[in-house]
Amino acid sequence: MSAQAAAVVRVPPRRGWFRALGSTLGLPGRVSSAFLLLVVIAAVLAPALTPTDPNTTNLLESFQGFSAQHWLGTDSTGRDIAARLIFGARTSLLGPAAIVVLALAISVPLGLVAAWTRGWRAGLVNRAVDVVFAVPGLLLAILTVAIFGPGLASAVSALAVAYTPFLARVVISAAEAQRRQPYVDVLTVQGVSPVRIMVRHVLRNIGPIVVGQATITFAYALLDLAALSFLGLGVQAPQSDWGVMVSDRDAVLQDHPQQVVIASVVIVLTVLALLVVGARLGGETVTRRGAARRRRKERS
Amino acid sequence: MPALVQLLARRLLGLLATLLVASFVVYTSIYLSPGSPESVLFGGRQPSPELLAAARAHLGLDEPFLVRYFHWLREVLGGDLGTSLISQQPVTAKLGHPLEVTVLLVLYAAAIIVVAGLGLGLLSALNPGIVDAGITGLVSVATAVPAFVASSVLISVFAVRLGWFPPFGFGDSVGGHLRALTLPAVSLAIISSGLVARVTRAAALEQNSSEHVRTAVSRGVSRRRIIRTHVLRNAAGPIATVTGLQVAGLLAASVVVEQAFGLGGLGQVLISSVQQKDFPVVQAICLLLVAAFVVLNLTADLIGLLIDPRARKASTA
Repeated sequence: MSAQAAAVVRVPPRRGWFRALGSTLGLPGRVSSAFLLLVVIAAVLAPALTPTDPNTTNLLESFQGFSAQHWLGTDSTGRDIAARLIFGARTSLLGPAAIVVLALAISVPLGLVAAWTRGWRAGLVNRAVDVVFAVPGLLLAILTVAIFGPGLASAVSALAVAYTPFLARVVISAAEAQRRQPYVDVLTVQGVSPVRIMVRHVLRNIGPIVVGQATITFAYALLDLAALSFLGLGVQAPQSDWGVMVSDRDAVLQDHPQQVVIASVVIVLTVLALLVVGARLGGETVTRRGAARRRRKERS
Repeated sequence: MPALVQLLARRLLGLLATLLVASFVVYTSIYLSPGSPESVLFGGRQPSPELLAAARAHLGLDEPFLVRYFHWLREVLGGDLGTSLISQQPVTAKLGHPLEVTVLLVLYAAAIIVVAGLGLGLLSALNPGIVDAGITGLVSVATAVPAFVASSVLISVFAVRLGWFPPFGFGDSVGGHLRALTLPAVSLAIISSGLVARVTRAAALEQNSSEHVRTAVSRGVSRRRIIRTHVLRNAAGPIATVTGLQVAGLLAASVVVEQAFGLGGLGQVLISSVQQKDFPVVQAICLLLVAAFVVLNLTADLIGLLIDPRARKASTA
């Protein structure tokens, strides 16, 4: 529904792609992207940014406050919180990135096939999507960990499978909307092969919606992975991860919530930024602006 | 209405097929595991071949795979979920109390989601301007606060600093249960409340700007009555569906919260069984949670159809 609206309303931008992106994102989207860029840079440059090693313990320096030596203080075993946060950004971002790439690699071809064919192939994809939908992602991940043991690899592959139906549904509905567009008939009459139509035209037109949904998926994958690490089933100690940092329950019960609160704030801000950018890219602004315009027209 | 009955029958058939596939996956998945069930039984010891064969016969592992699956399925349908490999207890007995905890937790969280989600959504839709902007901002942040983050922060503030609620445990009396479940239920409800509030706001705004509401306003119908019979009645379908889907999703999310608060619910038993490789318990809990999730999802869809005749017409046509 919104997919169709977005496809109809969006006019090809005449300006450069960078400015077009800026106007699509709007102010909240631009602020969010800037924040995300900062997090990515921190993750990439982690060793250069922190003089302290994230895994060096020093029991004499546990639970310290903010200082010049330890910007964000230290945790229960005297490890530098800032260093763990910055190094933790690596696992916290790489995991969801792998999940989204895997899920896209499965869902885009399947979704296009399901949208373009009738009969058993479309039916098969739809049934498979329904069945995977019936298993909550976190549960599938826990089951996988039960079988293959804890770790990032099992968690990532399980969540990639679990998120595939979400992306596949978006691809299917967006591609079906494209299929009804006149240009598809025109190209078909000209003898262009369906594969070429899909790859060169349909994929490009549904791109923004799929990228938007993928960004939202990234946010929820980040949350699920962090939740698994929180449960002790994802990233394993002593490796740093935001979910692991939040899980220090003893520190909370001893009234030293510093590390937990800092990591929580970073997780919430990152997810919020991803959700804002995803919603903007996916065309929420277009529909909302369209709705506002409709309302204004009705009033006048 | 035969069309509706037909729709219901089709959805039920789909549900049964989904459950069958899910049960097969859950049953099979255990056999993909590197450690076999009988090796858990013997721990680290090396059994003699005769003992191993006896154990395999006892567990029914000497039969062909499909036979074992149908055997297991028949027992599950008969209410027998097997025996725990670790405690040798029947799984159904082991899961009785945890199930109670999880159901209470999910119901409590569902109540919060309905009240907070509907309330905030309506409040922001009916008060444009600063109230709307404030609530919309709050709701956006809420949709990014996962249960494990919320639980850690809530424990720190309300259990450790203020001491209003216990930091863990399920409590002894009914009042104790409610007190002990408050923080977990709130942690669990935050994301879903935000999503429900967002959908409520959008649906109410859409109705507010529609012609039938404007006609009602010009007829001089009171604001309260317009909201109740024109805005809410028409917006109810999508709101009910989204709320139902969110409540179904709580089942899986409750695993995290139960672990954080040490409530001893299904999720916590699941995690400890995963760590001990107690396969029958893992299978039973996964199957229970998937079944509940699927049934709740279907219920949410059906409630949406029952409330909204237009949706009913669209899906039966």
